[in-house]
Amino acid sequence: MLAYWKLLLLNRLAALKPGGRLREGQKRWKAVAAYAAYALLVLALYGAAVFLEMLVYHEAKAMGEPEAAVVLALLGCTLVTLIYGFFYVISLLFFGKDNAFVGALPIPSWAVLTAKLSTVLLGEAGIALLVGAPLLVRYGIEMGMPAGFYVRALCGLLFLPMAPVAVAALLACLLIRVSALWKRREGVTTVMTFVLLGLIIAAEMSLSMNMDEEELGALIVSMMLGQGGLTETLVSAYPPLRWLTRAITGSGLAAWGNALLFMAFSAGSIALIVALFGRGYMRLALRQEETLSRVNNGARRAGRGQRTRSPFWALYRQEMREVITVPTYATNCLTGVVVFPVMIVIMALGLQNNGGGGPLMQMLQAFLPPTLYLAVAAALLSLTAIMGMAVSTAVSREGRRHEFRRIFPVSGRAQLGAKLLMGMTYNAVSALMSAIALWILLPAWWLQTLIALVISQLFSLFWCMVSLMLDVYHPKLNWKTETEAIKQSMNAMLSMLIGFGMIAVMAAAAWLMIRLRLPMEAALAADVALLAVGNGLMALIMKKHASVTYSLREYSN
Amino acid sequence: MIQFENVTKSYAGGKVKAVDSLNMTVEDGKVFGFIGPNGAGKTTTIKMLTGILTPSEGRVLLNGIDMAKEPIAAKRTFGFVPDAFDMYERLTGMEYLNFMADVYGVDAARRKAHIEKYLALFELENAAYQQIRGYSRGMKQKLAITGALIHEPSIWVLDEPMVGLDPQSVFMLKEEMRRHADSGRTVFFSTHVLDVAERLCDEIGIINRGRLIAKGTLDELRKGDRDSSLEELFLELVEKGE
Repeated sequence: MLAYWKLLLLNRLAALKPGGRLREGQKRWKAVAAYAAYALLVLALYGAAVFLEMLVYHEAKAMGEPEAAVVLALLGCTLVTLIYGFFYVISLLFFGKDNAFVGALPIPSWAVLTAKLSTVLLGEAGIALLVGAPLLVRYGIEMGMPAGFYVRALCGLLFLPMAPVAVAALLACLLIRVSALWKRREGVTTVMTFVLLGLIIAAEMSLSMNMDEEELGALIVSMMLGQGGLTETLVSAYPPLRWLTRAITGSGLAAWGNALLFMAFSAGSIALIVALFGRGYMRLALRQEETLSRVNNGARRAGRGQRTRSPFWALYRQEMREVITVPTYATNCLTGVVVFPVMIVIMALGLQNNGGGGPLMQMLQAFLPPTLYLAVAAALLSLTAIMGMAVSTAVSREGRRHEFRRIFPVSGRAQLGAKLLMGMTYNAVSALMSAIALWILLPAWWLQTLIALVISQLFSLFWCMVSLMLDVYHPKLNWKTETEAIKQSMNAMLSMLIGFGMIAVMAAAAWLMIRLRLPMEAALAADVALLAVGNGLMALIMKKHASVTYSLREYSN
Repeated sequence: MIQFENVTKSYAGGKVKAVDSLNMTVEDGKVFGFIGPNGAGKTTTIKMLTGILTPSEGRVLLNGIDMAKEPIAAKRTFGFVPDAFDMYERLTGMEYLNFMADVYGVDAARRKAHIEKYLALFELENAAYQQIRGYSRGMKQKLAITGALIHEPSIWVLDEPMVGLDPQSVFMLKEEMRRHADSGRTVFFSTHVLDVAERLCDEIGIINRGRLIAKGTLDELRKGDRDSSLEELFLELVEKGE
């Protein structure tokens, strides 16, 4: 097992080396520059997270409850590990390219599972340590904590990801077991992944939204009186967190006892997963490799599948189905697109069910100018567009197929058009779901919601064109696995940043116009005009230049 | 008909020439075999012929259509079988064929007839509704051939088509190539299997270091030496060029 674990670790470490990222034919300085830019981006994100932590700590301390900030950070780490760890766990356990290879090696199934889970845990513990350490060190110094505090905090952070990873592994194993019962198992896996994700988010949000008015009032009073209400509320969301909080913030034997309890619980959860699935894991993983000989027999009997389409629609259909049917692509490209509207829908439903939505929304409608709502809704719906990375990796995903596609008697413009429409479709579905949720919340402003939806689609068109062009000019085609094609995509990150930047520019332009005493309607109209001009420009560049580059550029050399 | 007019493909600012001043015409009704050692420029030539690469100099004409000026019209004229088919693995064979038919604008009746014909010929009827990733290399190759012929192209381009095929399929493929040429259309293929080229080709082109060193029928290449095999000729010509 150790040899395999070492192999997995070396493989991960190799991916982090700048030299390891050098692609065939790529100049070294370009690879180093891309690596540096990527590292800078990660550092910036990390800096933002730490800044946010410190801000929360400052506020919590001002309220007389600095422990609340510690608990919030630990809870945040747990939830992030659960959500993102799920995708990592499922791809490593079941969609790893080495499953067949490992299946032929004399390594017991439980050992492979343990090695893979250990690799996940090591990465997640490193992230938890990086995120949690600055806050805990500050807390320790300011509270004058003894050395034992730091030992317990370190152990706590290292053991923190175990339980969420165990839950993610449990869900992944169940998901694969169930999807193996279907012929179209990959499609089922994708759909169920999103259903599970929706359920996790729903559970997480219901925890924070199911507080009735009395509880909320009591919490506010206790917070104002400095009675530790916030910390208690937070730890009640995830009971093992109570042990960890007491271990970190407490003292003496009780603190050590809580620390041991938390570590035992965390290690036990992983041991339970290995005990439950260890023996059958390889069999389950290898089922993913099996030839699906019975696939689509129903279609054969029905004689379906010979409907003619135009080349454009054939390409569009192919683009759409590729994103859905390849689980690696679906989970990476559509997570944001699915999660965002799911959150809004759950929020809307939660407010409706609690009955708290009515008065709050009525109050909003009474005090908020409709045009301001329109602007906020348009920005919110536009945000859903930039969460997906289906377009920003559309050319890269072609990989070796790129050359084959260039022999098709279809213009580069049409080929890029199919990709663009694919991205727009996914974004439109996402925005529509969010818009429906907004409409449920604020039925009186249906017209503003509708206009916001239209504006968001104008934005989506602009953003999709920018993302697609980034990928046309800088594609990553020399990949061997689908994960390589899509993971750590610089184009996806850049286009997301550009999207945020564009929304910020539009908001700034509107703000400036309002400051100049122009009506809000005029500011919005100016934003729409800005978008229209941007779209026109992008369409022109795509038509004249990007489509030619796509058709003629010799990526292979 | 395929015409290469002074076609050159150079890299590194013209210092490296993968294909150097290629002038060659392949007439209709011919099976043309393109042979050469590894790295001679065969694949680069095929990539320029299919529009994947753009020549640094010269032009490629397919049925008189300039690939550089009218790429879409030129691409409609041929069907291409790449050397390794490892794409669209999650589609079923039938879905792939329908996709290709859509891309080339083949109507329902014609596609049905062609799909049925080639699936039967290559014994792929049962596999057609399975995902491609479950296919063997030979099955993938047969599917690629069916996809390339679905629009009845006047020019059929194949890059190392015999690799991975079982003897029965090789025989059927050769028959199909012969039939294609006999119906007045063109077959252009690259190969390392000299025996196949010797028996199947109406004309042979030998390329070495990017230059066409010989072209003609087998008899023309022999230049009166009736006993020499293509293998002997090939080795002799390549050695001369070294």
